[in-house]
Amino acid sequence: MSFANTVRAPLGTASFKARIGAVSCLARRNYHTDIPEPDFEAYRSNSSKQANVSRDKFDAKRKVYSYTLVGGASAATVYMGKEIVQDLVGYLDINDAARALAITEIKLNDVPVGKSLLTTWKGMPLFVRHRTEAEIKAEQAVDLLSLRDPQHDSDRSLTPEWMILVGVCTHLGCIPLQDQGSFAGGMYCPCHGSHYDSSGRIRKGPAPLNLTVAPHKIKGEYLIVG
Amino acid sequence: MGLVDVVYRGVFRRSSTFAVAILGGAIVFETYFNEICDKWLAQHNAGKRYADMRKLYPIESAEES
Repeated sequence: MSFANTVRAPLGTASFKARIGAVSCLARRNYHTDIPEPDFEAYRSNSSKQANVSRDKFDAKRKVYSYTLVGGASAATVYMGKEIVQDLVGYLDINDAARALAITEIKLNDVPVGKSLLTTWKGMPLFVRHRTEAEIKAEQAVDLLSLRDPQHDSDRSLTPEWMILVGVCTHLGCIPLQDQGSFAGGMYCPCHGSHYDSSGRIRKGPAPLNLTVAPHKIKGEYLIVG
Repeated sequence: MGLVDVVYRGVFRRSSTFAVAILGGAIVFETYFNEICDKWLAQHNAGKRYADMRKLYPIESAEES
């Protein structure tokens, strides 16, 4: 123990230095040298009492029990922590009641070919049109350069037959009339005379943008908007 | 005790392998724990849940199909 050799005892008596030096030769403890080391024989596991056997050989049998318990409890705790974090982050999401109010369901069989439906979605008017083949062909063939707000017809719907639009004129917010105007299957806004085609794109009149497409998906025989 | 030795030396001795085993154990635990709890709750509340009673009150809605 080099510590004993290099220390300069501030109390500076020869007996103090001698005592420190003597203790460091016999035991690793420098204090409480009057207490004998206790006898732990009663607590030793049977596997560790074998003489002349390396401790590595029976380490596993002794420790695996404790580690299994620790591991199992840790796994349960990790699961608990994950659930808590998941729930707390989930509070940032909208709740199920609000989400249900924001969805509109339409039965597809209610709208025959060539007819339009007017309904509401999230408080806004919703146009649902089941387009005819002729209308689809006409819209797909339109030259994009001639449009004020160029968008291809196939970008505006999941399937060409179903056109789902928010029925609010992009000019000043009136509700256009369906199946009116210069374009087959299109819409006409009576406030200032905007003509939309059957894809909801602005063709004539003061409106700057196409009608907004409502996010939708088709599930079986139902159309789910929102 | 071959299995005990393999498990201890292969998994428990190192913190890194132990941590991986705990995370994997948590994932497995979650699956079975959720399943067992759902089954027990269903059995404890038999007949009171909508899933048990939906045949009595047919509703035509997108969610049903």
